[in-house]
Amino acid sequence: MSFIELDNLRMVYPDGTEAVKGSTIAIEEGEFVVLLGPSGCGKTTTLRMIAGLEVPTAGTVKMAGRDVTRLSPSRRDVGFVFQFYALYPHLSVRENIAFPLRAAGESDAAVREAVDRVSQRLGLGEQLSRFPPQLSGGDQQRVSLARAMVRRPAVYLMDEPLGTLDSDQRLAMREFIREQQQELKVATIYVTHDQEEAMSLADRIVVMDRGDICQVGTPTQIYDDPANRFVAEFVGSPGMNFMAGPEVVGIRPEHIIPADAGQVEGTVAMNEYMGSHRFVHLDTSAGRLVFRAATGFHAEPGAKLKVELEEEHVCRFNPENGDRIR
Amino acid sequence: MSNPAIALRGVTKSFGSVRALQGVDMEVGSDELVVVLGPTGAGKTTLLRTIVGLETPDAGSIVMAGTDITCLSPPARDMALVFQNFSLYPEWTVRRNLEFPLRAPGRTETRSDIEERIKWAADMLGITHLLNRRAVQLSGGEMQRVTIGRAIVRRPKLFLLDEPLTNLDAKLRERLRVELAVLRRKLGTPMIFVTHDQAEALSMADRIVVLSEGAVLQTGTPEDVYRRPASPTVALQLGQPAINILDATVKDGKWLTSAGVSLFPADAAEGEQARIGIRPEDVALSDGDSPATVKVVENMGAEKIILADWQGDDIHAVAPKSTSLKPGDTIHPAICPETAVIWPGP
Repeated sequence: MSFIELDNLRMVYPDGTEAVKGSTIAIEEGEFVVLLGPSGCGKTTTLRMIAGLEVPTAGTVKMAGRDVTRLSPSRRDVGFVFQFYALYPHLSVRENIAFPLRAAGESDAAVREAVDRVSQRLGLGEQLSRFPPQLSGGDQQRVSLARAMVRRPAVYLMDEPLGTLDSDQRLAMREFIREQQQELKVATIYVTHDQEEAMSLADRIVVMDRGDICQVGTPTQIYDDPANRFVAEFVGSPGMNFMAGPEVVGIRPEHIIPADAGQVEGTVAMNEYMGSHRFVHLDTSAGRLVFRAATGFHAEPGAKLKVELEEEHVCRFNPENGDRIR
Repeated sequence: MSNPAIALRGVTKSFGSVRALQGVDMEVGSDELVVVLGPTGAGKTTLLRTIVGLETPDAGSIVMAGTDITCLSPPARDMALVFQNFSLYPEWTVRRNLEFPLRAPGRTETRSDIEERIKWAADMLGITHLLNRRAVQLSGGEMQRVTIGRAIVRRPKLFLLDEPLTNLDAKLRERLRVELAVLRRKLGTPMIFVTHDQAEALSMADRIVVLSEGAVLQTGTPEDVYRRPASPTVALQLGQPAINILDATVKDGKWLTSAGVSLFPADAAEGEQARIGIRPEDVALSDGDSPATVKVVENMGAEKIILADWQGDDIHAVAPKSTSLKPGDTIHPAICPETAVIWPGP
């Protein structure tokens, strides 16, 4: 038995939209699971059903063996973090963070100690006596994370908690969430559309598309061994390249190598400098290929170039439905 | 630069006690894409608003193709500004949204000019099939394309884009960033693109202007700014994961970190101090003398990022995706002196 079990969870809205088409996922104690997909894929709806904010049309949610499908959110022992920080504007930062502990009846001393610890970790030490409206968006988001992570609930549920932050702040917060989660070993379900966030945070990733689960696996499985074309394209920055044919040939940018004897010829369309590497965009008779090259590799737009594909890293897909051909 | 399309000289702007721009100098060539990179609050938006004429500088001048335009009204400057939030009329069709700027008072385009311009812009952006759709029915990416279309139909003298990709999905952002750079090259119109995203800056820019607290810290090609950052502040704005910065002192002819790790031979006097910047991709994982303990291994798909404790200093390194390193393992980081940046001083 797993710690959290979603069994054939479905959500059909009154207008007939099938937001989630039957999700079955098992999450272990202490595991970090990321629900990944584009907007409208059903990831947030799934999270809201786990939280108890939506009642599923069919299926069950179990936590620690108990059926909680119809239980109210407050009786599920979950810690939430949302993209839009719902802070109490009239309470100081300290009291905002302390709120869940006070609600649980913790002693003043315990509350003070816990708030000091988490706010220091998040660099909020100097903001404790200020009020939310006086803070920047990034600091408000940090307070919202601190408030959720000050407590040790049965499960953390996070919906794009880094969505509104600058990219440098995002990296620091990502490391904080991961360290904190590993230390507390609380099962975490995290929703994002950012594949990089998913890859770096998750023990396992659940990739969703239009209400369906496409694949469940470790970041390495999802990246190297995608179940279908959607996963292969969505995960990776940039995603996998595809070449049309009786079987669609897929290859990641780092597995295309410029070579004088290469079988594929093309014209350089564009050359993106990324600092530690380059992405070269090559127009070939089978479509656009993007490959990763060293920064010292020079190919100006318009230049002709031959490349070869590393055969052992090629993935093949069914041209009709996009499924992987093994 | 001979004959820049636009040049700013000592542009300064304050709001009350806040000095939003502090003597900004910058130039944009006639066929150039300049990215202004800076964190929230750096003054990026004020800079664009000042260039387009929505703000008047307290001091300094703006010169466009040789003419001082510091006091010219926004319409007379003939620039197009695209915001982060799509400012389309939601109930109007895409066609009507695109026509709007061409029907503004003072425009002289004829009916057939307008038709031709819209066809051209829609073609260029691949939105011809959306022309009769209402803006509310569009996806985020489609809306952003239409917003850009509304800017290009006017064929302005300069494009100013204020974080146009920030509110979009990561995948879409990646695609549009390539499309925009290609589109700009086709149009041949100069562009100033403002962002806080270092990947956008590096990949799109002909030159990057690094802005911090209203001042320009460095201007250069992406490679210049990435490889030869003028200061630790600039270095930290580019590259992901961030550059490693270690405090070091010369001892026995070598740079030593505060924890006593020997980095590489020093070309400076005994006892000199410096901050040394090392990009994560330039840290070799073996062959060094001092061991480091792996703390975190982040899987990035194409590669892995290692965070290790190097005798008390945190150090980030890049490992191939095939690495089997895990937390607790030992590595021996080594630094190649040619790749390091040395900023003298304590």
